[in-house]
Amino acid sequence: MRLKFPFLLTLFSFFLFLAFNPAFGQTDSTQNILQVSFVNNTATSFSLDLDSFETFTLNQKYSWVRDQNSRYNLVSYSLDGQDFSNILRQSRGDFILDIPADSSHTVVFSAVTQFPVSVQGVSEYSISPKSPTGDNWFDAKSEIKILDMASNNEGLIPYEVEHWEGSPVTSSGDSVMILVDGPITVEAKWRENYSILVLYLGLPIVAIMVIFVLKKKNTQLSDTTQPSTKPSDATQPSTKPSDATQPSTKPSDAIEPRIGNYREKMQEYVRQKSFEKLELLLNSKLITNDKYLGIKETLWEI
Amino acid sequence: MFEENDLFERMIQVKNLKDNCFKYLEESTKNLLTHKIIFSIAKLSAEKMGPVKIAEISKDLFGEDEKSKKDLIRLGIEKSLSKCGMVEKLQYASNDVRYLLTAYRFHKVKEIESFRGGRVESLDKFDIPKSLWPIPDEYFKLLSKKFGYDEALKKINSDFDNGVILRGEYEDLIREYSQKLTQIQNKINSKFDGLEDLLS
Repeated sequence: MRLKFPFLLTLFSFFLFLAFNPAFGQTDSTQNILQVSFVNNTATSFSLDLDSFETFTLNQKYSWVRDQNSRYNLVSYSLDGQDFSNILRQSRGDFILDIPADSSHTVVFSAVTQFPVSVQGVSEYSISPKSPTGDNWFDAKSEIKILDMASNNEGLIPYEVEHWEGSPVTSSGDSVMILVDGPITVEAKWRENYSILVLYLGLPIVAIMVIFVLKKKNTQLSDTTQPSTKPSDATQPSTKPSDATQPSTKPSDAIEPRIGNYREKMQEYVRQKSFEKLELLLNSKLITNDKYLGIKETLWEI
Repeated sequence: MFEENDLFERMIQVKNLKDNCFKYLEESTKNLLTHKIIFSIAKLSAEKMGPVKIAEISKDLFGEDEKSKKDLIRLGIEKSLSKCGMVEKLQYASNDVRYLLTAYRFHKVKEIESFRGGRVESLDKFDIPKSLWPIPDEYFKLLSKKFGYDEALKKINSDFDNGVILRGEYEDLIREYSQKLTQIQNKINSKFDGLEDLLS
């Protein structure tokens, strides 16, 4: 009995040691692991074995698809549970993070939902604040303002926005407020604003009439020999309005053909490039010469 | 026209052949009639987009369709190529028989028997040249147009960045061309799913 007691005590101590030793039951692995996860599960978490290199380069896309109409965009990351560090926002490409392979690490990425915003029916506009990714995609729940809108319609008659179609907007004066709570497509519907035209045209006409009346009074008061030269002078102002209208029509003349030509040029460019592709298919022996000629002839047939 | 789906399935599938059949495809047999028949069937069925008659093969190979020539071809097909499972005979009527390749990609295999069962080991492979595959013209048209619109979108973007066009025109064109590109890609996906990968 005296011999058995120390033996039992040792055995008991050994079991106690095994039970409270955290390393017990775990394999003695030296493999370091990188665990990558995403706040709110915006992407699937994954883990990687870190090989015995000095550093491991982790590539994470700046943007990835959320659904048909939205995407996620990377905003910050946290390494090993530290505070989140902001990432310079980008729309495309990969964010690269070098991670030392000395031990296991965890990386948590945070991303926000973004929706595209499309403004139609305007030749020029600006958005405030600007898209954080610089490509007209905006963070969900952000409020944006569309400013400095210009109509596609060029000409003498000025245009003003009559109403907006598409996503709901709040118009105030010359700007429009939009809450980005989904993909936004808005189209400006313009109307002709004759009041400004009347002002523009009316003033010169009144001025001409005043000058004409004054001239006429002068001619009545002057000598009878002078009138032969006066009428030619008097006609001068009457030509001015037509001269004056020329500069205002010139910009529209200058822009319209350029836009028209560009569209035609692009259509020709599409045709040219598609023929190049067809030649490429021929050269890579995917199609025979006969097939090439047949397809080329009918490629852009209506 | 022959069923496009049937032709498409033939292009997708890979046929395993034993050495004695795979030899009809090899360069070493290019002067043999059986080798020429395979390539003639491929060429003619790509042009017709369907199966071909013996007379058509004869005209292609010999420039004539005399009975003696047609018999030679028939013999070559029925005694060798059909037995190997490389050519399929389609009997439309008693006097209307046409032929078609069963596949356009072939693997030379060796069957290995053991107590655990048989298995197949691939030794070599041969693809009929892709220019002889029965791919509809429509597919190449879609592919060409897709490339055209793709390149145009890149150019419109760079032109806008360089201030060549106004924002309104830029957005109209981008929207218009993107829609066209999507329509083309949808058509490729729905009608020719998997073909792009096969041809790349």
